[in-house]
Amino acid sequence: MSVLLIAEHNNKEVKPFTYNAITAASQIDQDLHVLVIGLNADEVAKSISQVPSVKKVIQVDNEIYENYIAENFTTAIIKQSDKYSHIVCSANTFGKNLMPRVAALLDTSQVSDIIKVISSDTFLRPIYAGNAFATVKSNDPKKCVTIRPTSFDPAPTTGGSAEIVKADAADKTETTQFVKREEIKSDRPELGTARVVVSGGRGMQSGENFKLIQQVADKLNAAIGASRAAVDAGYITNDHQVGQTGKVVVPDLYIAVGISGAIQHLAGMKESKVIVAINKDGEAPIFSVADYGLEADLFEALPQFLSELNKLNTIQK
Amino acid sequence: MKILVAVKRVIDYNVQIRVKEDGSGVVTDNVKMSTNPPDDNAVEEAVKIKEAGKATEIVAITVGEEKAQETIRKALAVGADRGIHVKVDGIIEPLAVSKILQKVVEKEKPDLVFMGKQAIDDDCNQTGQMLAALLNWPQATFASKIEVKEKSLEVTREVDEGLETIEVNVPAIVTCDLRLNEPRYASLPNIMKAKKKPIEQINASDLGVDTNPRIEQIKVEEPPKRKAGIKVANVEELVQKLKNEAKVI
Amino acid sequence: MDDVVVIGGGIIGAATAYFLSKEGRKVKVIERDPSYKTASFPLSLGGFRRQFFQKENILLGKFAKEFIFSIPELLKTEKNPNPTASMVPNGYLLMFGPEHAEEQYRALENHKACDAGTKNIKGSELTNVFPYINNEGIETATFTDNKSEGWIDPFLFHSALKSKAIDLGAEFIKGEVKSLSEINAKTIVSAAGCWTKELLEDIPVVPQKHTVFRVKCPKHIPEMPLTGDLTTGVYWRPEGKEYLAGSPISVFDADDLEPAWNDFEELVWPALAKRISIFEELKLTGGWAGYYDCNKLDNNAVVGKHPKYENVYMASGFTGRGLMQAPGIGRALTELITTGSYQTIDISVFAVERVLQSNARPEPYVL
Repeated sequence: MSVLLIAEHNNKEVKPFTYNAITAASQIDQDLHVLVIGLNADEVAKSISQVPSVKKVIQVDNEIYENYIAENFTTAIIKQSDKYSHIVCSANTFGKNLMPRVAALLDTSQVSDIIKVISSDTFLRPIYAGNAFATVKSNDPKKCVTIRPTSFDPAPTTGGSAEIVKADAADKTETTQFVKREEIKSDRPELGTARVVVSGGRGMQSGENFKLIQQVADKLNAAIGASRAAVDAGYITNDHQVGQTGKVVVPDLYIAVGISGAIQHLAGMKESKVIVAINKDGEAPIFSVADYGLEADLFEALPQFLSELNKLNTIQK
Repeated sequence: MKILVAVKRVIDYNVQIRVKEDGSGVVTDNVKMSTNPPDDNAVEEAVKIKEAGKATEIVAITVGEEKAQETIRKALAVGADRGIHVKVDGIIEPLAVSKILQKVVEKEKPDLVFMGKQAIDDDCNQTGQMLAALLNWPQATFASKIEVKEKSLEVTREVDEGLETIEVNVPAIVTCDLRLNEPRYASLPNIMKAKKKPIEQINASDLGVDTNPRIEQIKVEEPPKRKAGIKVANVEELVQKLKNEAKVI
Repeated sequence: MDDVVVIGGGIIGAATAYFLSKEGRKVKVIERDPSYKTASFPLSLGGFRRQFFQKENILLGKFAKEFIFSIPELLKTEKNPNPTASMVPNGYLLMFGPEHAEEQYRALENHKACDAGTKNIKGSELTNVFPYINNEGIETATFTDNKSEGWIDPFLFHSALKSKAIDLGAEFIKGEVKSLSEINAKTIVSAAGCWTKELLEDIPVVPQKHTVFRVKCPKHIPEMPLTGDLTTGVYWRPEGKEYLAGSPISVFDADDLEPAWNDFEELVWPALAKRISIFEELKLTGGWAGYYDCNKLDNNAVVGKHPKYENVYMASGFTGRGLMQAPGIGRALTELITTGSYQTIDISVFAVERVLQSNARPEPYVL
């Protein structure tokens, strides 16, 4: 058994999630090889060769791989696939786009978005948006697996010295052309899909005071939410409303500020992964769903929170 | 141009998912079912392209049990011209669905195949890409904007870094993101009318596709329960916990 | 020994605590779930109306309006200087088919006797006032257009009542009372809503699950009243930029509060589209279910002193009207406890003896 992991990179640097995928892949089997498909991606291959759990790096370097085109990457992977029992990559937009195309050509039923390796053929994966967990066993001789990166720690990046071998490119597709890629920076994320949501309630006391929420949201690249009471009081428009009669949100981090936690509000945010409540009323129902509750005056706590956040340099964007 | 739109019947996104006690799956009896949300975006985009005079026919297709026809009727109610139901019972994996779609594509010869980027039940995100591979067609996944050109599409894709634009020659597969458009409202009278329209029905077995699952579902369980929360003493402690314990900042 | 213990801190318990505290009584309120997850009030549509059949319900509805309009003065505290219940006084419109017309005309007599200020209109003239309504099959209708009915945010209303009660000396504690014998107080008030039977097993009040759907419509009529179509039992009102619609189908002995989603397409949507043509185009955007504290005998309140006890009073069985009747009931119970009889609105027809003797006195206008 050997595992082939497809690296994600931009020809200069390894994308961080690749290291998380390496951890998962090495749990499937120790004989882990990493495929680097790109153009002039020597630095990428070199970085990956230094990961201790990687046994071999296969580098396919060609101008047709300057940009990531799933059709081109697929044929390059198929060309290498013979020797491997597993082909794996991250379940982000890179891997989601690529892996099913590979799997179909190998006549394999793919296992998507695993969060745990139980054995080399059995995995745990969330279904129904994480409302259920399925343990699944793949019976295909060759397995295609994508990995939820945030469920695995990144592998150490130094100490290894795997060999780097070059391999040939595959044929170029003529039917797909890369046009451009734009990074979006300026806009605030949408409430429905944001990784972090900072919400204010009636405790904000005025629309003006929502500036405090905005500052924290800016720092955390968060969307701004509100309780129905804050919307009714006219502090903020109703497209920010979270709850039974507003949006239902499931961010990684939900910060409720000055929100008492009516059941109608809780219905819109209680599935968030981590919930923080800041409220001066220690009896407020919001504390019943909060992972971290801070009983404090928000007008003191929010500026402090912002200054503490400013001291950190690790905030994920 | 002819567009085939694939739609799937799933548990409605409003419904609270309940896991069966015996671990064999989730409860679906008497549960409200609907069209997979991004499949609605796929239908909407096809209808818009037709309204713009750039497509001549929209065929909606679904693969699944008898009741899966409901999703075709919803598509007919908002502008699809006809429907095909490939009947198959039980769990069917994306690989088998894409093989079925491949057979239908070979017969129907559409120029474009649209579908949602992912189904909200199994969360696989595979069928479109697999179909593209089997047909050896180009794929434009996670589309948030589609521009129809002479013999190609310019598609803006939602990727982790932001937006990516590619151009794919027709015929092509497009999988649709929720941001692609705002699906129109199906009107009740149109839903009623669609209920009377005939739908072509094909048995999956007649297409010669092996639909047996390759993946064994060993058990389905509830996600771990949320741990009881704690009160922190001050802002410093809160930030510490968020950074080191919860690892969310 | 405590002075007054109120079991249940929902809307009835909070309102009773407020009125009793105002009269100088020392009130302790015991609530088993202070997040009120399955309590009736936070899951209600928040309506307040005076359009009922029975005079007592009409009068309680009138007082609700008076009280709600006075929230800024009445419920002001240092901690909550600007209390509000986010009131929307859009009025109510109730529509009746020929089968209910006779009863409705008798109800109108009661409206008049109570000076309710409701307006009556023939079905055939309905579109003069409400041009967006299809009047097919409507014989008669009543409505108000003078800001005397509408809806509020139930949770805010409850919070304001509770804060004011605490400000006046009441105490709210978390705890579960399994039996009345656990309580040592001069006066006990059972305000246990749907779960009254757990304390007083001879009271025929049970939880009745009702579903509310949230829908989006491309056209918005923000001035629409809370509208009840008594020919189908479906009722609806605007909420923000969307609408909420209640299903007439209810369930006893429900295991959970999962909405009855399938009722939307099978029943509620057709009823909405039939009555309001813009509702032919709708998208279901959510929904929830909640419990009515249903009095199985006659859908009417059970309020007063329990005859089998020396010191036990109760209020329950509001069958969906607890929120709007809470101010009137809190005041009435306070009068009964402190003076021995009702002083303002006489609600002795709701007495506990009535249900013990099974003397039904049905209120037909349940939404």
